[in-house]
Amino acid sequence: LIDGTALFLRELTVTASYSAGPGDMRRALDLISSGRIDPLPLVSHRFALDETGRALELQRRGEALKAVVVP
Amino acid sequence: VKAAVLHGPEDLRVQDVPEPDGEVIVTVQAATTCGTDVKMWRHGHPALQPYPCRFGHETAGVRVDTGERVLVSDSVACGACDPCRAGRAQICRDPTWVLGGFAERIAAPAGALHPIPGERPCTRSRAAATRPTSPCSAAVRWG
Repeated sequence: LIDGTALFLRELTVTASYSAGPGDMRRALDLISSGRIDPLPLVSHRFALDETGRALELQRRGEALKAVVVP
Repeated sequence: VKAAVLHGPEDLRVQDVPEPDGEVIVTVQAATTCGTDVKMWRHGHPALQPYPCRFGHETAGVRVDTGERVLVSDSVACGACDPCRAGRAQICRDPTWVLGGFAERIAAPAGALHPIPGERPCTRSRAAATRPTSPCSAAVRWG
């Protein structure tokens, strides 16, 4: 939970992020392709297309952080 | 082509569907799952087409026409609403959604595609995971 007092006393800024525009996508791609950020640790499971339902079930139960479906 | 199709809440079937028809056809190499996919699967979602419909919005693949590796954005911003005109396309009020990544092939507007540089380290799984990375990048930009 966010501590409002800490926000106030330390004059912190909280930024929400809903989605990404084209420029954000390109920046994220640059970060990943240059190796500065590696999102692969987020990928906990891999599934074939036939198992898409299972991927979502694991994600729903919180057992999968990020599953990759590989058709 | 084979695709994951939603027929109703919690009714997901992987089945043959007609070849996708659209501006650019992309052979999907990787599609990551997102919390929104879980919502779409269980309860439906305003961005979905009427049932039966396809979903999956974190997609990386190869253009059928040029062979170029591409990231498929989840949407194309309208360019006309107030947020778009203010340079905040990420909160566009009227985006065109590009859904259907859980499939062998997907059709997408050219404007939704971003070339993926190089082969490594940008493997297909990393490329597909660009979509969840990009809002973080956006937050850093705006924060």
